[in-house]
Amino acid sequence: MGTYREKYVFNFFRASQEEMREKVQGLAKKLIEFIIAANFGEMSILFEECKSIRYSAQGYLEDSKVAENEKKTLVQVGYECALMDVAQMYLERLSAQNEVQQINTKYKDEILSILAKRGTMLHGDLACAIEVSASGLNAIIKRMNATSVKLINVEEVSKYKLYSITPIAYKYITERKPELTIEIEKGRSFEKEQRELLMQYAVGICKIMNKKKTLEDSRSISGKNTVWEFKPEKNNRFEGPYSTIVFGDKIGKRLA
Amino acid sequence: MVLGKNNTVFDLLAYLCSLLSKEDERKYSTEWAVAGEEHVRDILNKYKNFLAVILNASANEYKFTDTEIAYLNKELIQLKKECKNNREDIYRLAIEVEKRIDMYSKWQNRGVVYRLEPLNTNHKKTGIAVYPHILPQWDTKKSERNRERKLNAAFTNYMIIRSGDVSPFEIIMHYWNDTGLLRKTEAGWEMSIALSSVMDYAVLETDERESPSGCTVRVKGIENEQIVKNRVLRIFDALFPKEYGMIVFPEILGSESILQAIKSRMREHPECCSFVVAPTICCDGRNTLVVLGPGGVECLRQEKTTPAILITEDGKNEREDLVYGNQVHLLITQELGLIAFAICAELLDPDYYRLLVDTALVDTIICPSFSPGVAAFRDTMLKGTPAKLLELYVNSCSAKAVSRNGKVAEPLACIQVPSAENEYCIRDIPRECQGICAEEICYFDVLVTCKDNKFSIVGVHRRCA
Repeated sequence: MGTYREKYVFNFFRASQEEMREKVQGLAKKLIEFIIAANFGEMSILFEECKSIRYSAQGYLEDSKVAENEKKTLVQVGYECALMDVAQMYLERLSAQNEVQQINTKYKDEILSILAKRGTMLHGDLACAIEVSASGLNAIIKRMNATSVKLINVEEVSKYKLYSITPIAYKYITERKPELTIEIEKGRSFEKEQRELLMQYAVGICKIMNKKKTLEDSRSISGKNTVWEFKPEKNNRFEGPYSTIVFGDKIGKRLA
Repeated sequence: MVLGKNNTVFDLLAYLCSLLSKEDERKYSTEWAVAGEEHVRDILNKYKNFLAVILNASANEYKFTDTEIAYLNKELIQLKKECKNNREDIYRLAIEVEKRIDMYSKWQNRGVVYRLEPLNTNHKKTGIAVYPHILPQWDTKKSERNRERKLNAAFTNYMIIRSGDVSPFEIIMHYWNDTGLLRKTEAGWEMSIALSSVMDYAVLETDERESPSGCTVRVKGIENEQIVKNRVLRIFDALFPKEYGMIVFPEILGSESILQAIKSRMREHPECCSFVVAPTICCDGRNTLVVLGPGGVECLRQEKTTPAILITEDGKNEREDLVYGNQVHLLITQELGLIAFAICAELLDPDYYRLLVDTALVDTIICPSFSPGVAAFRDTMLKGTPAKLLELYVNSCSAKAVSRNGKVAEPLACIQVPSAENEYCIRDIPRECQGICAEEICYFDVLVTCKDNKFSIVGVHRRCA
């Protein structure tokens, strides 16, 4: 079953009001997206998968007990409203796009990519990431938020400024750099892989240290014994055989 | 499981907010105001992946995929387990989640004006309702609301309303998906408003009763209804072609037939972007205000929630015998922010006023009235100054009939603007017809202009021929 059919097609005789509204809204948005991107391939697939809904609509109208003239008027009401909604959506999307394109700074894409990948950042960290001075960053951010479409959320917390990407800017940058979405997805799963690797590494170390201890015990070495033990740390929340793990230079905790 | 299959980012936001009490909001807002750099960085890194999921959902009709729901549920369960120790994190997380939710865009296929339910489906369970929050077209940076120690002060495109804060009322939101009230000018905008006190000789049809619980008076309608109707429609016919952004009539001088007549005139010209606050209709113990949008579209019907208490000539208190509800209807607009329509004595009820200004964060209040005195209304309007509200008030000259001194209370109308060129933000509009209302019809033609974030008001008293 096609993806679009599943997402946007419904039966007028059976669907609830909520389902109808959700699916029609979604269909309208998807159409606008394809029109703006001139994505004729996907538009064509969407059309093929969704055109059956017209028959359901017509059948429903035929079956309706409303007077014929009234029916015709209601159809025109719906049609007219749909056209105006589509026009409004198209204008909003295009005007947002135009505003974003008018922003004239060479750091625009770079900043947006970094914020998309790294989430909210402090002023100093972002300045460092794009290799500009802290005061230089102020001017850049001001320019990026100079239009009616805000690209960066600026929040003052304590004596610091926090920057995060707005959803509109996120849409813009991921459309321009589709590989960014994959990177972010990969980043999430990459981090999970990394944690698992580190866990295996730590488990391996633990085994080695325990073997060493066993060997030392069997030789009956006098003096202090050193035992390595893993203790859960409060803020780390990773999956695995251990509910938490300490890693990096804090592997294990030395106990007297 | 916190999130189900059809839950959206709004459900997630409401859930996070519900984990914090009002005391928590206040406490952590204060703590974050002096947070250290490392601490801020740590918290932000900790929830990086969680927040990346929210950004994706915004681009996907605010919905999550099944994988994302599973991931979020796991995180949320853990968050709730550690709730006692990490409320500060939750506070920060709620703000970061809200920042990543795209502006409200689910207006398709709803009509131009429609009733808007809370955006989150779990509002009953969490006790939190999420609504779009659109700021008005004037500068609110210096509003006292920005100094509040609340999540709403940190949020950008949405606001939360706690059910406990709304009680004993009920908020009903409506959304107007268009613009056109304001006319763009160089460096700002202007809005033309017509306020009409209508007439000074309307006679109320009342039913007074004495009971053990006190004296009550029920307004059943207008005795000289036909004369009042002719007068209202004559004024409306003079005002409507001038394309005012807002036409406001006073309280009580309305009826269903007046309403239908105004509607049918507006339907002839849907291209005229005017909002009409029709004269309120007193019937069957109810006092109902109807707001009409362009084309005579009915935006909302507000029933008065607070009865008036009048003091008679012999010093007795008389209560308005009103079948009053508790629903407060508000209209979300893109130009005037959130608009409330307070019917006369409602505005003077401190609980009602606090609901509008502190809980619902309204930006504009319009108050039609039928009152023997106006000083209390004026004082209440001045309270809106620190919150940068725009407020309109119009009284009816006919209220002199319920006044102890038999005179028309002055000023007849007031306008409060968020910031003014001169010292005072409130402009009084006095009675100017020299008592010849019976012979001529008058209204107040007001132009509110906002240039470089400074307001000015030009008001002219006009007479209909």
